[in-house]
Amino acid sequence: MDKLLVIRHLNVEGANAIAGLTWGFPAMTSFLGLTHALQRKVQARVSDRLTLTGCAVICHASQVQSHSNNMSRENYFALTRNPLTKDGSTAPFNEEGKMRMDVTLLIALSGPTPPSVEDELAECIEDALAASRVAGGTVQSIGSVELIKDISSINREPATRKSFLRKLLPGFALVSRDDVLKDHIEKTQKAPLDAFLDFSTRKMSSKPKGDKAEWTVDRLDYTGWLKPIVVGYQGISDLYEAGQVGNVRDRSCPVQFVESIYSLGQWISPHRIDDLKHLFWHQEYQADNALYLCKNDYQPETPILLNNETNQTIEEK
Amino acid sequence: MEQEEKTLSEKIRDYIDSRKQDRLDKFDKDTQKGVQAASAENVAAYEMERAALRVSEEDRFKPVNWLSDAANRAKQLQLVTHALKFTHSDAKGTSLFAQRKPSPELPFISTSALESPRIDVVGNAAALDVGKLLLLEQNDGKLLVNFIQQDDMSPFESFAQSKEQLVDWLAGFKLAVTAKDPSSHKLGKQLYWPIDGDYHLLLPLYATSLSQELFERVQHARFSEEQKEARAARRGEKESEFATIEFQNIAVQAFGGTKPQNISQLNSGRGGRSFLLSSAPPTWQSQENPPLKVKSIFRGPFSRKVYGHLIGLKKFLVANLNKRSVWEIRAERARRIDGIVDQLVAYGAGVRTFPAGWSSHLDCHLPLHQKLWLDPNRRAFDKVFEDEFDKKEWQGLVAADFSRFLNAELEKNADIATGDVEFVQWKVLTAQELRLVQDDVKGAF
Repeated sequence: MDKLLVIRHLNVEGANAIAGLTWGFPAMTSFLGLTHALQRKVQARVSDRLTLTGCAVICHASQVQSHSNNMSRENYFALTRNPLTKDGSTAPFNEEGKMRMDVTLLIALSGPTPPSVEDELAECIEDALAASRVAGGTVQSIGSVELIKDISSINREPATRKSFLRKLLPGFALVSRDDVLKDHIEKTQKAPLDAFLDFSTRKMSSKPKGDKAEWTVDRLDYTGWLKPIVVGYQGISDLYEAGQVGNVRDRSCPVQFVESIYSLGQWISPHRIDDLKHLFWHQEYQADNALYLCKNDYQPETPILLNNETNQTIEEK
Repeated sequence: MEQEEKTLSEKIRDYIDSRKQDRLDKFDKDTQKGVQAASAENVAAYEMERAALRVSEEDRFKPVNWLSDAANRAKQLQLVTHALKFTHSDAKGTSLFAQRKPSPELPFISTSALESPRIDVVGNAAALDVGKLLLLEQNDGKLLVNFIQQDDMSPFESFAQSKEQLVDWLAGFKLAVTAKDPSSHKLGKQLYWPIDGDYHLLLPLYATSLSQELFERVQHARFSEEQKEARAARRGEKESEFATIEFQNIAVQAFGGTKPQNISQLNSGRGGRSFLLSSAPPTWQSQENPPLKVKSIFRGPFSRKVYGHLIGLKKFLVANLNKRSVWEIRAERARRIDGIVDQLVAYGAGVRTFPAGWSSHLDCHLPLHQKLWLDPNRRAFDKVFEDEFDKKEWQGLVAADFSRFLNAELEKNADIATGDVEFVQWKVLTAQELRLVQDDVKGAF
């Protein structure tokens, strides 16, 4: 990662609030799809030597258009039923969840950006965004689009890195926590699905206390805002050669039926990461397992206190 | 218990018999109505006619006839784990019976994480009885449909009149589990996935088996006897061998409106409802108003925000009080304290989004250094404020407030020695953090 496009405060209306069996935020596939769409436009209009290799999302504010029923503690989506069919009756209806969100996108960029390209690039991105769907929603406003050419040096120096990251506050960045899910499965020896659902449930159990019992919440060993997320797709059919499947939009590329796959994600405060690349997501294809993955290389940070402590012990020696 | 010892063939016979019984009961009722409605001179003729019809009905339900008919109708439906109709109720295209083996080394959850996914039936509702037949279960859990997939017709042998008939039946039933010519539809989802300068076109299908599993678990947590018992015990402060389970922040997605059976059989069983798990980011709801009418953010607005974090930290410290301070313990303690400092920084960032100058409101009783920290943009039009800000004394004061707040919280628990060396470091730490905050503020102008 040498250059960075910072798209601040992208306000989106009517974005998808449902991703597979999760709700509350669009799937990472949407943002990586947007990144790729932007790359195609940039290559066509600005320079074909530029590539957009990854994307990070920081959510400043979000509001799902839903309401909850206090009796059953369920949330329902607020929906409209349009357009009508030709004869004025209501069309068959497919329930969708919609949301508003205010996000900042960081897009990793590589390729030569001489000053002549620089201005053109920001303008192109802004135009392209205004005309794009973002996670199925429409862009209401864009705070600013900025190209940072020396991101490596910002990233290397803790003070400048922190200063850069702190401008992303208030907000939370989404990172992948496959490691936590894996660890939890191993430690508890539960079936993967059971272990996964532990992060969506609240359990209480009892201990004897005198002649009564004390009920306490069973807390997991992990802290942080851990949530189930969609991390891509897995093939559930053979990979068909181009043209073998009927009624597709493109008969020139291979086709595969897929289902969404899930893992754990964490919403973290972006200012405390050790390395900017921990925030980034990119697409990956693993042919062996027919996996179409959104990958993120987040590493839990080393606590600052601990840094000081280890430094001290080294000095003492 | 007799029920469980039945062979699959006997279950097939029972199933057909029960269909027959239902059909004949209905037929007899209709006849009775017909007799009452008919005029006196026609009754005899009508009864004759109905009796003949009844014989042919009975004939239809002879296993050999019914199975031939069923094998013939099997093509109208499909047994699947992934269905297209959930994407749009008018979509017509391939739904799939996926048979991917679980791969435990992958840390991902999908249908392949289920040991025996529930099978769904899609297609013509008039052929659903064939679907139910194919889902009959042998005592070891093997389904009739599994035999068919393996070209094993042994459960049907006792019903067939010839080898040819068995072959026909197999061919017929097989159509319910094999994807016909694969196809998508204009109402199906189709998306490109870039691969090395090229693309694959992905056709996502709805994982109805996985959805069913989630649905059953939520229902279990809500309505099962076991959970009712556990919740009653909790209310009465009594012991229970079960833990109570609550799914938090569930949303409902509806499929098929008032006709859920048009989507699939499992969907019909779920009443057209599916549950969704929350993946939403944390919200900033607690900051709908700036911190007015309080003398310090550490008495109220902020302390409420970190209440959970504090409880966790205290519990952790107490649990490890007399253990040797090994690396793991120190790392975890540091992480938890970092977490609280994070909240402080994030809280500050949140409050700073209010319009500049909010701290000059009459109801703002915060000490000056907190005002300087939380309303820095007021400098733009308040010279005195700017001068105070530039003295940079406020950072140390806020940091001291924070250390005092944290120590006071921990002192409430007498077991924790607040004289611990590490706690002195907090003040140093927060002062560092706040210096960086100032850099940001400067950078923003």
